[in-house]
Amino acid sequence: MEYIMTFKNTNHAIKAEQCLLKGKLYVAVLPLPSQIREGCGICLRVNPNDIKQAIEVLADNNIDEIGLFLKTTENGKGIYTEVERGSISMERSED
Amino acid sequence: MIYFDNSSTTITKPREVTDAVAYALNNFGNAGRSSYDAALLANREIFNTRSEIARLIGLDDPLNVAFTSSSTESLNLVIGGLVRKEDSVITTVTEHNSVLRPLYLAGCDLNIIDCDNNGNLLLDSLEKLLVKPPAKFLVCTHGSNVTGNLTDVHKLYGFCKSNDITMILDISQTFGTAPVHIDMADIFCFTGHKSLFGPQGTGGVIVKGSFDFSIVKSGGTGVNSFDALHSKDMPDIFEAGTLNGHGIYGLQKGVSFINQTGIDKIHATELQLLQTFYNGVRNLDRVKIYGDFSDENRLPVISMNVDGLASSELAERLWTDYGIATRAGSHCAPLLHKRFGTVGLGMVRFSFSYFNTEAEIQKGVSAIRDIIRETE
Repeated sequence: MEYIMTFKNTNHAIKAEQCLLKGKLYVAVLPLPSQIREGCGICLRVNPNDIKQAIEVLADNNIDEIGLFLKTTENGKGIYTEVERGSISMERSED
Repeated sequence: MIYFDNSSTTITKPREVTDAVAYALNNFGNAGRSSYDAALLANREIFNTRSEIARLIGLDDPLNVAFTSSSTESLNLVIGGLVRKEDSVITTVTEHNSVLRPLYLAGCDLNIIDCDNNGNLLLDSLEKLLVKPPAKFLVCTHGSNVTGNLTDVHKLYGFCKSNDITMILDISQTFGTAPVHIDMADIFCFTGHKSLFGPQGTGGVIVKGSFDFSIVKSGGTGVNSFDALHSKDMPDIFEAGTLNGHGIYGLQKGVSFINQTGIDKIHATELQLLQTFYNGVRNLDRVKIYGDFSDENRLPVISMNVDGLASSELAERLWTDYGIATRAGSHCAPLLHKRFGTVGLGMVRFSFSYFNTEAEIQKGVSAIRDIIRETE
């Protein structure tokens, strides 16, 4: 299981990557899955253990309009389920 | 060659600029189009260039820096994207054609601020400009490419803010050679190849806040490919198509050099060179100098004529006999030359860089003395 973050454009994706790396969070840049949005683009893969902190770092850097998806695999194919950012924050806060 | 045409373009660049362009040519993929290493390398370094520029001007968000091919393109995109025929716009007599022609093309109503005999803008009567249809925009240069005088942007921007006028500042001549800060205007148009030490073919737009630009340029952005219209987000709105990643990486190293050296040190060094040159020529017979040299805070630019010589003749002699490169003619600033009565004569402009030396300045002064003597 992993989280995928999408952004309004590639410039925001790269800015987000730089901010997260500065925050010492491991991220990888991937092609935007066509199951999420048609056309071109890039997205970020974030470790599930880092997702709450990643959301906070991006908010601190005024990077909004983020799409958040949970990726699972079935028969080798990726399945992407959109996740509310608020629910992540709540879940982690209650831990 | 002794190169005194740095207002046209700088030739001596930090070594890192050359190395960066060569590296990028062989290693950069197409930024923003894929996620393999070469494409990401280009994408990240372009972002890092935005960050260096943001640092130099005191801007928080690097994505408010958009890249274009030049300051001229930036001004065309900004003016073309904002100014409508029915708008009233304030500009000045010191502007370059890259400001004037896009304004003429827009067909807007123009109020042009005049200058005194030293090229200083007459800013005491700004309120009179409000009698006409209220201006929506003020477009002006931060520093004259002819006289080297700096514009009192503090006063102009205060006037703009008080009267709901968007101020667009042309920083082609100042960014990298004099302090430029984000609080000086709303929108800035810059070039990369002059005092930022980048390659030709680089420039950009910097915005403070959001503006309703019309889409002037459309094409691929690497995202939202099925949308009919180009994105209006910064920086995409000005960046249709593949960016000049090679040049932009070179520009990053030029701006980084300035950030590391310090703009105040660069400015002071250049002004010292200017002062030496000015002191060497100011009292020579037949020399006429244009601009205000009583204000020490100016650009390292001096335009002059030698009575009896056309500017083209003086520049030709300097180059042919002394290997000194200058710029003769009208410097694409038609209104200022009309104001000074030098339309037919032109002027010879000497513009200095951080990399010029005192020895070169002395040779320049000596050459002018010789030419004056030889043409008596």
